[in-house]
Amino acid sequence: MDRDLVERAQRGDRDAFAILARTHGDRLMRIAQRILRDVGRAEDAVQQTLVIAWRELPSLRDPARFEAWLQRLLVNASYAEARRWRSWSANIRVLPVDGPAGPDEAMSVDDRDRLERGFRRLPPDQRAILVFTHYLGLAPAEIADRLGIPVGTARSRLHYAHRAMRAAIEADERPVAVAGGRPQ
Amino acid sequence: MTDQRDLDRLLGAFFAEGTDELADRVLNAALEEIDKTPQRQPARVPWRFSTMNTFARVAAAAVLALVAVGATLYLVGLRQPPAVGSSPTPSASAPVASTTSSAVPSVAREFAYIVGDSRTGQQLWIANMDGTGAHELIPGLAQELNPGLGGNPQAPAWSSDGTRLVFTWAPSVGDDPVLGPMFGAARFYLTDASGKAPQLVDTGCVAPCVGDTDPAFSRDGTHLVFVRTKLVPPESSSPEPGSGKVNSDRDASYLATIDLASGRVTELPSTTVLDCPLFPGQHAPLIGNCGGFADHDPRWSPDGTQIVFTQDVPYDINGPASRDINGMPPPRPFPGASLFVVDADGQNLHQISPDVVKDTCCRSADWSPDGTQIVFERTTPPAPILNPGKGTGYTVVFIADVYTVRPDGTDLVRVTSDANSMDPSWSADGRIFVSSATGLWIMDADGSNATQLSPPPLLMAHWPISAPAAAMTADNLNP
Repeated sequence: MDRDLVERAQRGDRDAFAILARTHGDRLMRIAQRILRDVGRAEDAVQQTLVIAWRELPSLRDPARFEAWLQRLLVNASYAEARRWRSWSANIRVLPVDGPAGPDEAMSVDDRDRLERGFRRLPPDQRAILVFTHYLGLAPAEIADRLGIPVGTARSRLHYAHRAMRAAIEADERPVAVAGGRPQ
Repeated sequence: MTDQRDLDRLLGAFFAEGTDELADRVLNAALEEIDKTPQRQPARVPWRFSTMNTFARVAAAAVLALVAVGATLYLVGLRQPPAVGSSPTPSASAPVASTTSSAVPSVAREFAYIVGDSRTGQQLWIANMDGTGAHELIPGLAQELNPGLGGNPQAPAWSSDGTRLVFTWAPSVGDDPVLGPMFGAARFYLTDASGKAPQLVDTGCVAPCVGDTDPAFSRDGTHLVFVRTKLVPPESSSPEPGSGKVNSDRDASYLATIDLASGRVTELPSTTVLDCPLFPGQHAPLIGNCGGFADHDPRWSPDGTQIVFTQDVPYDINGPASRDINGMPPPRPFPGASLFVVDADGQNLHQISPDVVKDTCCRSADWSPDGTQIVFERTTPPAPILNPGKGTGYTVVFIADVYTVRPDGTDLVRVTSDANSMDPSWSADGRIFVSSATGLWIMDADGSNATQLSPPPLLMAHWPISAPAAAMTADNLNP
């Protein structure tokens, strides 16, 4: 169905594009919100993505790759949104993720706080690679294809992102040195 | 210690939480915006061979064959040199260079070049050797390679048989409020004269590598030489006030080669140059306006044994070229550049810039088809001119001309003298391409018979390079 809609939208059919936008909008929002950790910023990124997708759709060579292309647009829009947002590392507040967050036996509140802090310190490209890996369940080769980067780059970003997240968790587990050298 | 399984579990749970729906108001706002937004149609090139049907291809081939026969008869019968253009001005004292078309059996068919700069956006264009048929090679390239953000193709270079064209792709990552347009890790793509879908060359640039640029083919087409930029750790573990050392990363730039069949990359550490320190955690210079020390424009010699390239070097602070109009030195290490030749295995690095141009810029070097000469752009003097009322801002006034020199640094010959000639490259028939503010030109190796190619648009055209060519030119202007 997508292919037919994409081809119609490529020819300027706005109704077809509206159906595509409604079909893919939720998924785009989930990805953007998980990269940016902010609903408002994620909404801006998705909106930007949809407008750019409409404008550039005629240049898409293979309609079957529409969803991957859309996700790549979204990641780029998220990068741009992140650059406009100058508080990646400053003023980190430990907030629950926007939206409902029910109890989860797999993760304690402390774990979530540590992960949140660690994740917010990551540059956008490493955030995206973690979301594509652990939320969308894609392998590095699939991510590389989707984001248009070499496989080695995808693996490298994932490696550094994992290392940073692991460090964030373990840093909070270590005792904090205070004057006098006594652990607190 | 958190093992990978624990981390995977935690991250899976972490990302499972969050918003699941796009609000209707957001979707509706996007659709309203779309109603006001026209679609951008990729430019079509109706005469591109790959898009023609069979009948059109046969007809086009027949026409091309007739034109080729006619052109050959014309050239054989007349050998008429093209009209001399008004600019660039060839040097009156320039001796005739030894390179002649007889040294090269092949005839260039077309040339590629870049239109625009990094601020206006750049496009990869191609034209016939007489300047006709100019068109953007891959319409919509920027959006295809980096949807939504775009980027710039740079530094095209052909394989010697003219069947492959490689170029640097600098993906945009948006504008920084302070630093302006920002670009991500540069990489290479391969295409051909028909503009077929660009194919990524995976050079394995992963951290601490931050980008690969300026690719050029070896003569046999099996390897690329390129410039790799890598982040290197701080000089010291803590700041040492007054020592000149900083606790900061910095870029190192050096040459590397890749075997296109195996993907094996060989680095040439002898060619390394260090750039200015960077802000911790950011790829931006720590010292205002400091930056730009790197290698550029590597080109394999026709016999494959040597590589010529440009390396930025600090100016002699006491030299006349490093003073502004008030006689004051610039407040920062301002890069000059010099020509170097190194063996293909990284041995025997030596500077070849002649003494007379030692303290000025030499860029965009390219071997002559027979390997006996190197053409380059000499920019003199790149003295920064203080901009009154603009803080410490400097305007750099470049006066650029094209010269040739032998690989041993002797026999310097001035090819142009209009103070506005850049990006020289040698065409396969022994002539020299030059870029200037008046467009692209081609001339004999001594500067005579200058002909304006005039492919539209005339302005802001750079890096002309013919296919096939004995050697290629590349990005050098840091626009």
